[in-house]
Amino acid sequence: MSLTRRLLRRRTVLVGGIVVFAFVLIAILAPLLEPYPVGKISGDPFAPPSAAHWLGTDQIGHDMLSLTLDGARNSMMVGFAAAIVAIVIGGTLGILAGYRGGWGETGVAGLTDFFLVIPSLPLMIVIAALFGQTIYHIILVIGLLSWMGVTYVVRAQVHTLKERGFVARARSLGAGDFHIIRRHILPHVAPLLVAQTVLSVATSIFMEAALAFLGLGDPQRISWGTIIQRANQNSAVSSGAWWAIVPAGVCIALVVLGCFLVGQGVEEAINPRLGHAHVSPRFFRRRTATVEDEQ
Amino acid sequence: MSKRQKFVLRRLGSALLIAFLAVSFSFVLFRALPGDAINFSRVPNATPEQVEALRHQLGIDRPLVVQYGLFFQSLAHGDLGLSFRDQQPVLGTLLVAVRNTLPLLILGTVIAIVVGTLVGVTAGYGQGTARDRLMTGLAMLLYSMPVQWLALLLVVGLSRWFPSSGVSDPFLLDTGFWAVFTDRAHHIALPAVCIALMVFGPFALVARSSQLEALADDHVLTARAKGYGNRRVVWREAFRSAILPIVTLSTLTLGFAIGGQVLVESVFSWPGVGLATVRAVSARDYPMLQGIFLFITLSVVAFNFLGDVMHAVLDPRVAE
Repeated sequence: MSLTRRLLRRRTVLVGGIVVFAFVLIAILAPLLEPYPVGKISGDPFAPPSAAHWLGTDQIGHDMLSLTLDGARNSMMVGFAAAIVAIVIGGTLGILAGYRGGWGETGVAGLTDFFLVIPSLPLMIVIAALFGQTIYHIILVIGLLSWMGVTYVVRAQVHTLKERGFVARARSLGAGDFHIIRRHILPHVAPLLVAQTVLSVATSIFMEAALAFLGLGDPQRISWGTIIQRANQNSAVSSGAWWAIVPAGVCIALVVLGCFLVGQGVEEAINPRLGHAHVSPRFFRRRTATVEDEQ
Repeated sequence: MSKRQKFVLRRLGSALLIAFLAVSFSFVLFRALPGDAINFSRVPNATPEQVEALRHQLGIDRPLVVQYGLFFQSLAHGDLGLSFRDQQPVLGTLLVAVRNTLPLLILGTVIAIVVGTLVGVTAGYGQGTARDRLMTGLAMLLYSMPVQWLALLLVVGLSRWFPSSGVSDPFLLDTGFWAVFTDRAHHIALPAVCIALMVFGPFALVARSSQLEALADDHVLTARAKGYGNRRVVWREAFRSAILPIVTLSTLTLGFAIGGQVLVESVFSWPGVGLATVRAVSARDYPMLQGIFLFITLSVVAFNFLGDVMHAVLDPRVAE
């Protein structure tokens, strides 16, 4: 059975995939779906949900539904872009180090361990504060500080792959390093990279929301993180305007949960014996392999 | 010297190396990045002479290598510099913040670790049952929620009963022990619950899979074959081997909780390290930020080392 078939048979992966896909569609189609143009004051400040404003309005009178949809665009963009940065860096380092071995591998392993120890949120806060706040800087800051988990996993995988028979055969037939990596190593780590990408998207959306909440978001753009931050700053809580806070958080939780389910499912499908103690590289860096009995 | 002592010494060596590298890294981060402290500090319309004097005063007109040495020298004296915001020594402000942060951090993580372990072990025992699915689902859901959002929801829902900001009531008249104690307990309730909820999710998931792994062990099968009851098998046989990753993770958790603490403290205006970070960020108070960054990184390194030591104590095999 192919990997895709095996994946789709898992209900959790299917549900997670549908949720993430739905949010990608929402992000792309946001301008068409928004009932009011973003930036238009269309109601009273903090008006509760009604027929005209399904999710109520914010402190100025913007329609919350439109804001949330528009927030999807930026949050999802940061999520995917930062994940790609992390995957490109982490994947390249992991493959090269695992394949080359020797001093290079020791160096990369040391670097990975070092950055794994440094708590990432405080470091991101510091660097984001030094950099300045455009969405591109935020993507870079998040991406540049979340490659370690990817390197860790990929390096281990490549390290065992290169000892396998088919790599030795290819080499004895005179294949060069580049050819071996492209044709024999890469296809084997690809599913792992996909799983790591999906998990990275979740982490990045989380981190963006955290940075935005601390006032380090892009002031020019609306993301789910900035929606929560603005609602908090304009005392939505003491005004009892729960509708200004709830939707953005629900969206984040749904996307992140969807990503976790997909990422976890892919990891388990690649290596059914390696059930895992971790759900994502976000918090817990030490992995323990477990044998999970399939029901 | 026993193997175990050697192992601990080796881990100590690597912890010290990482600590040294982390301190150097913070030097690079704050000194060698484009622009220097003068650009950042708010001295509009300063004449070139004034800028030069200030650069000299801060020591940033010297070669980088000299600055690097001086940086370590003042660090060894516990001198983290003066805050840009109030010109007070960073160390003093930081220590006050740490004193406020610790009770919250410890209370929150301890609750999460105890509840998370209980839930994880119970869920792992009945793998695949409705109870397991419910508990795993809940843990995943909590894990997916942004902490700051969870905190705001707690405030919206529960601030009628619990105060939602600060450590104590400044207008409290009664200074008796119990009055003060209840006041403090009331104030710490919401933020501690919030930190507990944040840590609980990942912790329960980890506890569950450690327990699953332990249950698959041969010695558990033997215990079953001997006819021991469920309770004994789960808690005395399986849990004893599952406890190892759980202990290691407890120490790592404290490290990660410090990150989440920033958001929680910011919502609840809890005057700890987290709130100090938020203030330092908004005032672009770099000496303060650097102090906080050093403190957090070094405490994470220390906790990791502590985890290694506990690992060595609990499992003699680790040294081999």
